[in-house]
Amino acid sequence: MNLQTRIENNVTVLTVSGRLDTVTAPEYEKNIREMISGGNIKFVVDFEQLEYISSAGLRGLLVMAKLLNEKSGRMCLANVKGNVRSVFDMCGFTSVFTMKDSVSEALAVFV
Amino acid sequence: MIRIEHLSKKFGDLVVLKDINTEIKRGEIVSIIGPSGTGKSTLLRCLNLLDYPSGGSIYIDGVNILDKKADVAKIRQKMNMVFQSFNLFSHLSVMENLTIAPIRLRGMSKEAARTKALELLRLVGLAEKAENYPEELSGGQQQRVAIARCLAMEPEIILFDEPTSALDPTMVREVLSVIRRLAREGITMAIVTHEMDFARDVSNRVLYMDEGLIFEEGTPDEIFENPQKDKTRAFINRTLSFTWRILSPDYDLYAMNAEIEAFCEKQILPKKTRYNLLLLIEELLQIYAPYLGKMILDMTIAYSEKSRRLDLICESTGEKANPLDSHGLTDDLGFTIIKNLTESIDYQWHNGKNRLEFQVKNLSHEE
Amino acid sequence: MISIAYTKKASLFWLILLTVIAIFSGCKKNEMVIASLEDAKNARIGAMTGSTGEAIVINRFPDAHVKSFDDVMDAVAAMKSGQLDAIVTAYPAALQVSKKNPEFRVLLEPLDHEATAIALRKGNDEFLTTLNRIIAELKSDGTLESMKKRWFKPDLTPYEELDLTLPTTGEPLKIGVSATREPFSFVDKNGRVTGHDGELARIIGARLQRPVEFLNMKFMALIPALQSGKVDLIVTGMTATEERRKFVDFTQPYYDNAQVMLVKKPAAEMPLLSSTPSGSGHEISQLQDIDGKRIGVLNGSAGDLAARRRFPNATFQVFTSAADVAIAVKSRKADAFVYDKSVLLNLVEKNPDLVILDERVDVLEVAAAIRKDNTQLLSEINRVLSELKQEQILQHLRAKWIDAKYKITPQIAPVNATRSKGILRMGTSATIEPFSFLANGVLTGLDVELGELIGSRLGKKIEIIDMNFESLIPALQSGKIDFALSNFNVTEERKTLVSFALPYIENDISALVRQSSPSGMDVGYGTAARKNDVTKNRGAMLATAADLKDKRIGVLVGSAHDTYATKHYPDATILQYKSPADVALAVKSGKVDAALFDADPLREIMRQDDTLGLLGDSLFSFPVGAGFKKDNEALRDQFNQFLSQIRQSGVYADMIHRWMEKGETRMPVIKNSKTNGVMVVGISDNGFPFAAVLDNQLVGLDIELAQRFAAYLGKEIRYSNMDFGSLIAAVSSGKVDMVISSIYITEERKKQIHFSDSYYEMATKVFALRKNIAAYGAEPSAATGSPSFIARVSNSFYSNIIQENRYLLIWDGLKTTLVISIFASILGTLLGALICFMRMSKREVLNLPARIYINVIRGTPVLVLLMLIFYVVFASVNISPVLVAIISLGMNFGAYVSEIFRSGIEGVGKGQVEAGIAMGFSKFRTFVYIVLPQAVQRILPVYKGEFISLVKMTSIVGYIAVQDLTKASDIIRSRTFDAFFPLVMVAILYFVIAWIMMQLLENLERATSPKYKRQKAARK
Repeated sequence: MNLQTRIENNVTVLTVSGRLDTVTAPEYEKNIREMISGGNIKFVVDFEQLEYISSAGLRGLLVMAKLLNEKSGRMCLANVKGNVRSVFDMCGFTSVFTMKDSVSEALAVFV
Repeated sequence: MIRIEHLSKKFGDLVVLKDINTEIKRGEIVSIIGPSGTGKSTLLRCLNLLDYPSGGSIYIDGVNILDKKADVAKIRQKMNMVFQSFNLFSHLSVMENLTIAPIRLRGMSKEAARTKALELLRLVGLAEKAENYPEELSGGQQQRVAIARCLAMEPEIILFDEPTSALDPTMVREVLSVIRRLAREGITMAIVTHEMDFARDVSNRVLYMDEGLIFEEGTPDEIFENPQKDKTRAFINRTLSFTWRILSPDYDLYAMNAEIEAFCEKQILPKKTRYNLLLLIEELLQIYAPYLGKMILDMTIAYSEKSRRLDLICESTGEKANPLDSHGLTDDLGFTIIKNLTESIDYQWHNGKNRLEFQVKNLSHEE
Repeated sequence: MISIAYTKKASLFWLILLTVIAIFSGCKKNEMVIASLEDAKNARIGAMTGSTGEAIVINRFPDAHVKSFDDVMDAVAAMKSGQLDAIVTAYPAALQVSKKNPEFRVLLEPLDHEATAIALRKGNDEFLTTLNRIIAELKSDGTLESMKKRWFKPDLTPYEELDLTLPTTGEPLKIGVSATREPFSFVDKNGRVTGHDGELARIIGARLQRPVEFLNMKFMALIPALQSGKVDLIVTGMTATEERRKFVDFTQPYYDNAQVMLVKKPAAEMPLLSSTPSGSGHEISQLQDIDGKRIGVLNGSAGDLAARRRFPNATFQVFTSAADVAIAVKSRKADAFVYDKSVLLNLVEKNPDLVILDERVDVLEVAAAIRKDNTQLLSEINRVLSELKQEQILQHLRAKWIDAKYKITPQIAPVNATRSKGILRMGTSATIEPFSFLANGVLTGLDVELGELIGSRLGKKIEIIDMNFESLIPALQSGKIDFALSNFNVTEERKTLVSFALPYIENDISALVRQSSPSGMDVGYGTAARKNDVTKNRGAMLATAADLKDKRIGVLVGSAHDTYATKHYPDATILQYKSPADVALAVKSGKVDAALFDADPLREIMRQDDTLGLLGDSLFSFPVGAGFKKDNEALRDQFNQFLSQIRQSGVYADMIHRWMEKGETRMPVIKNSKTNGVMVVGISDNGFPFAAVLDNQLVGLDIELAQRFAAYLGKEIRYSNMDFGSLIAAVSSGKVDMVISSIYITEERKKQIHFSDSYYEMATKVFALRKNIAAYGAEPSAATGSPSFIARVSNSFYSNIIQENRYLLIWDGLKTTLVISIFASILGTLLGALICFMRMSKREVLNLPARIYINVIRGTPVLVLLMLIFYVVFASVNISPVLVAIISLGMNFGAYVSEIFRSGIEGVGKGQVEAGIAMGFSKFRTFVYIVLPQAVQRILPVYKGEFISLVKMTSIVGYIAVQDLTKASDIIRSRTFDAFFPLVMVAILYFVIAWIMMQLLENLERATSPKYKRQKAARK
């Protein structure tokens, strides 16, 4: 699992690549906590490069959302497709998160 | 009439037949089935000494054919073989293919041989092709001629070495029907075949060969309906399985994944199915997580080519309980996923183990 | 660019330099003339390896260049070709050589005297004493003396051996001999050991009352044989040296041997064949030019008679003294003086503006004349003459007076002897220098000295009476003089009047003429190779032989011309051809600029072809001999004896006359008892006059010689006609008993075979297309417009096929080719099947040899294989060459065919074999019924190709003298020198054979193909 960040218009664009599973979710969580406590509260999470997500990954996202809520932050998901999308669908997460089809669209949400 | 005792065959260092012991009685029709490369053909070829055994003995009508003094040619005339690649004599016409042995080996007169040959050709339905040459016939026709040629020598037993394996499905039927007819005539036959239904239909005894041994043998019903050994069963279903034992919570998910990926690739399962399977397994293992270390968990992925059914079987030791029922779950995310990925979920208490059987959604026709 | 040119130039320079050095060091043609031992100080001297002569030469002539030879004949050949100036050897051997080679003579003064004695085992003192006693008896009763006379004859008349009766019972006396040293010890034509020592041994046997048994062995083996007891005595002209005395005992000497020096007579006296193109104007350049001119002669002399006989149209002027005639010629009162050459030589010495023509008019002997009824004196004088000859004194006299062109008159050596037995009156005509003349008022000359010698030997005083030449005979008849010595030529007419003693000189009668002006032809006695200065060099035209130096020269492969050309024209391109026809063809078609060839056959070629012309004179001449296997000395010696016999009987001269001069093409009938077995003679039909095929028979000088020899031996003759280049190999491997085919006797060849004595001196000439030779000028082409193509083809057809029934040759060749092709293919197929079986076996013991066979045979050119089998494998076996051809070609065919079979067999699916076996066929029957038919079908096309190849390959069998179709065309070509017709014809024939075979095989192919069978069945 790989995390790449960049800032665009004050928004942290987080590109997640690889797998978000039982093994990698804790690391994800840790990074997020750091970033959020570091002051990043606006996030676009780009799922373009993500190959796989399991329930552990979903929980990770939930944790992220909760943290941001506490900080009045906001997150938007981009490029959730394919197998990853089906998992989201299965668990009904499509309605839980804001999901956009591209990063730019997601960024536009923060404007 | 054929008794095989402790037959073994090595090709160099490769042991193909370990220790074969069986009997073929007169009038029996014996099918020999099993995975490829397990020595089925070799066993057959040892019977007429096309391959020479490394050890053991073969008695045909009481004569040990491995004896140095045995008149092998004479013995061979009692048997005959139908080959996978037909092996008709390409320089002779169909008629000549049939008559050459009777004339030269039996001393039959040309006319008598021809008459007999025509009769046999009628039997296999190729009387009109008598003057044609093998290269002019289709595969199925050639094989039928080969069978007729076999019969021309009035053998006591016919050995069939995968008679339909080289034929495309359309021609398989015509050959099988001929063999069926022969079966009705009461000729002793030993047939190595992959055609399960046919074997089931025609034989009165089935030998399942695996690992260089006769793994299991019995009547068609016994073998096909109720195979005792797993391997047999697996084979019958043409199921291929892959089992993984997990003993501790420190299992290596990724190693397991790799194996699973390999297995899936071998079965040429679609990507989505692969994904689902891995996800399913991961979710399941999450559910089992608290109990790992206190139990032995066997996960088996079984795939049946025939039905294209992908099953995941989790067998765990411990108290009789359905792991999915446990309410020790933090949330039902995993469970939801599991439910979504499977066609059915079955729980059984089987052989002292908690057995969960999942039929994985095989989405081959969707993508 | 420049640098490349520079290096080219530099290398060219070095090349030239080296060539020049090589030429100079290599061929020294004109060697020195040695008249006495002193002359040999710096000469090149040959000696027999390890002989006493060799040691003597080294000792005595430290500055001389000594070359060692194994055999006298080798040294003789070397001297003939100009590599030696003299040979030192034992007197008997030298005598033999000089007898057989009239261009050699033995110097009178011996180098050393040696004792020839009988060798016997050490420690046998009693026997030694007995032998010495016998020898002493033989000396004192004159037996040895008479033996000497009888065996050491100066001429080639047959030997007279004593008729001895030896006991037949008792322990035989075993005599070791090396019967190759005539006249001491040699084998006669019946294989019987004879000679001086043979007779001596028999005499001793008679005296000891024991039968005698001869064991003939190599010289080296004699002493060991004696020591081991295999022989009891060695009686074979063995010199008693200190070295040998260490091993054996010697009796007292029975013969006083001498080491003498053998030298060449001056070039002027060697027989030469030259034909300079006819000169211009009235100058006399050739002998025939004299006819019709004015000839001066001495009245009644043999020159007189010879000239009148020879030149019927000439006018004769009779003189009384030689000097007068010479003056007459000089002052143009006469055109030529025909007389004794030795006298003429003398004149030429004194008159450089006179020259002697090469070609002699006649040959005559000079002898002492004695009254007819004075037989006693005759025999006495003859005895003395023999002695004098044997002692080389006659030769010495000749050398002194005749050969040495002396400026100061030699002195007559005084002879001390008792002259108590009376007076002999000698008549002479002191007008002929160097025989008998006045010098400073003193009567001197050869005849005078000889007369004195005769007197001294007979113990009589000589009274010399000078008189007119014509008076000599009357004086004899009337008894006024007892004998006459006056350069008397022996003629038939004179013989009716007086008796002649043994000739003491043999002389040419030659013609003396004025030397031509420098612008005319260069005439005169001298060297063999001369330049033709007359003709100007017309650009690319060839003027002289030297012009060849950078041209393309054709030669017969393996011939002496080949060697010569390579040596002398290093810058030229030498192209070698297999047969004379090919050489001629090369010249005619412009592939070479000129070619070297034997003079006599060349004459024949040029007779038929007027587009060819000669370039210059003979380049060199070589003796020609018959060849024998190295260990077949006996046959060689028999041939030599036969040769001397026919020389003496005049048969030889007649043969030469017929074949060489008259251009005869028919063989005489030669009777032959054919009771003594068969002799195989190898020849090469290189054309007339030596050996050619006429009317499908072999004819020619060599053929006649061979047939006569066979008749001489009473053997039936069988010929083996092959390429010239194969002859030597054929005889040295024993395939033929002898070869005779105008083979030059060269050093190189002598290493491999033994040569007979030379039976002809062959000159080499250069020929080229006439239009390229300056000497022929711009001659109008003989034919006015070439004949039409049709005419030419029909001519060709006639000459190549019809003439002389040549089609029979072709038919025979065709049959042979077919026989070889068919049997070789059968053998090859069977062999191939066997090899294939072995090759496909899993057992290494069969597999490996098969693989080796296949690789070796396929890797060897079939011609090499053929010759290996014929010359090496069956070396001494008498096997028919056709059989060898079949075997070799069959072996080759087999190697290829076996691989073809293998590919065919392996191409049949293994499954079918299994099916066959499963059915109950044995492995063998499966092979026969299942595999074989399919394999054969598969390989038939390739097999066809190999078979056709085989048929064509048979064309090489000519190399081992099989007369096949190709050889037939060669033979025809060698007669007609036609290129197109024979070759095209034979090519067509080969094609026809191949085509027929192909059709047959194709029929077979079709008949066995399944498709065909089906069609056949369908049609039924």
